[in-house]
Amino acid sequence: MSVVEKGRKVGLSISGYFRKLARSPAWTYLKRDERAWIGFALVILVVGTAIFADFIAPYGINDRLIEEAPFARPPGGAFILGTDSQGRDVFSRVIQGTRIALEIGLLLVALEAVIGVPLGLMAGYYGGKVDELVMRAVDVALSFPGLVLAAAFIGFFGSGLNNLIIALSLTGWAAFARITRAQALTIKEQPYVESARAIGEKDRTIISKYILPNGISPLIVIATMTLPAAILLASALNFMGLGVQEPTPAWGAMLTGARSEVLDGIWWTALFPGVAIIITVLGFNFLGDALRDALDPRLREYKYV
Amino acid sequence: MRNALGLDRPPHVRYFEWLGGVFQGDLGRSWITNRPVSATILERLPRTIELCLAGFLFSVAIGLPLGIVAALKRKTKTDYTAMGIALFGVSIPNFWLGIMLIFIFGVWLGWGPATGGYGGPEYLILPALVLGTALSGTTSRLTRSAMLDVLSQDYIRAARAKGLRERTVVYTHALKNAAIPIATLLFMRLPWIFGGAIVIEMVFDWPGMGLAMINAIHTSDFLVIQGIALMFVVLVIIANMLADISYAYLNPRIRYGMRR
Repeated sequence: MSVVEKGRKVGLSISGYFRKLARSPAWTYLKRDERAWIGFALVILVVGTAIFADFIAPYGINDRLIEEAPFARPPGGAFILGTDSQGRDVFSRVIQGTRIALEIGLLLVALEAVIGVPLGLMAGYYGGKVDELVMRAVDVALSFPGLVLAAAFIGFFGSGLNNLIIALSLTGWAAFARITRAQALTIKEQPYVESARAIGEKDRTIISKYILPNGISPLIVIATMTLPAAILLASALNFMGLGVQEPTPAWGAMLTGARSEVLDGIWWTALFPGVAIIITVLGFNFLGDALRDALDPRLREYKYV
Repeated sequence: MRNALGLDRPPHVRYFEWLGGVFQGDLGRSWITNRPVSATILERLPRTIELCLAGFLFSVAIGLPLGIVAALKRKTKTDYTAMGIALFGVSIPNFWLGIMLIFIFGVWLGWGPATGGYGGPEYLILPALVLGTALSGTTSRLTRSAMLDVLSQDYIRAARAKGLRERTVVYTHALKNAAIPIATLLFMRLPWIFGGAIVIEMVFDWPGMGLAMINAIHTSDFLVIQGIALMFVVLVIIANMLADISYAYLNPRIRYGMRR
């Protein structure tokens, strides 16, 4: 419901945005895009797995199910994806890992948005020195490889889930700040913002009630496209032992030991966590690309530059 | 002991001591091995650069043709297939790909050194290939969009109108002009390869700076982490300078000093 109907403002509420979206050409476009359907199906699969992980996983993540060597048994019989070098069920661990991957991804994207969006809004709305300062920081953050900075940060402040997320957000916020700034720059010139200023709205109200809701399309796209990248980066850090630690069944962490196990011909502990990462990342990438083309094709350049 | 390691002085004093040393090429010594950090870096820097350059070449060798073909066959099966491959390329965790390739080529087929390490070209090819695939996804996508931009220009229509062969139009007219944005974007992306290199060095036991950094993090060897991080910053700055220079060099319309 647009806020006009409340008889107060000319802005647009966030729930109104989705209602408007359902009637828009973007939605029609999205419905016809195969990538959207593939992506959507994969995302539903992954999210469903995360929610119902406890029902799907046949064994506990730390149950040692094999009593005698060799502990790592190939797929088959009671263990459809085999067991790892400690005799734990690979299938159960991969399933439970979905939850951790999504948790890390969502928290990271949320933190990046919480840092980047306000900075971008301020930079775009106020311009001048604020803009200059924010955009310099954005340039630095965008040109620096996130993994290197994250590794250095964790090197000094220690590993673990919280530090992993903070470390990756150090560079990740910049994409949000840049897109939000670009949105704010165009929206602040709109007549409805001018009229809001004319009736004496405070800057803070204009930014939060007018500029942000009207500029949210690209943010949704960026968030969807950032999520898979975040999951990939986090799994790389977990793999290097810099994030979530054993015995937590994070996919990246499961692959740490698998690296040396493949030398003994134990391929199943390496293959399946990787396949899980690919399904997840591919699903969100498909969905993100389709959303971008439907909602805001101009965003293409942002992903590549 | 506390005095030798400088732990009896406050952190900010130690920081400036370290910074003073940096300008004289002294990055301190490792707390674990007592080896000068600068010696470790000098020994490992060439290996990391070797890996990154080889990976960069692979990414261009895979990504550039894929992007060009996709742009030329726009909105056909070929285009969708090429872009599907590119999307797959950016969705695969490269460390996992490395492990799988080690298993397939090193263990299963027995074609190369399965344990990884440093040596002749047989040690370089797999890590460079893996590093390259991760980047080739983005390379092909930006090549495609740069080519599409150029192909819609008037001078391309003019070249076609005057009856040039399609090959001449594509290779001499379109590609030359698309080279400017492609090269600039590639150089801008160059720093990202360092992040990939850290992970790949660990997978393939490649004794470069990345592996040294990971080991230092696990042993809390702060001066080594600090020194290597600093070196990576220097590399990023150099890569950004290369991007700026290539931009000005390839595009005579833009020269620094004339802008702003």
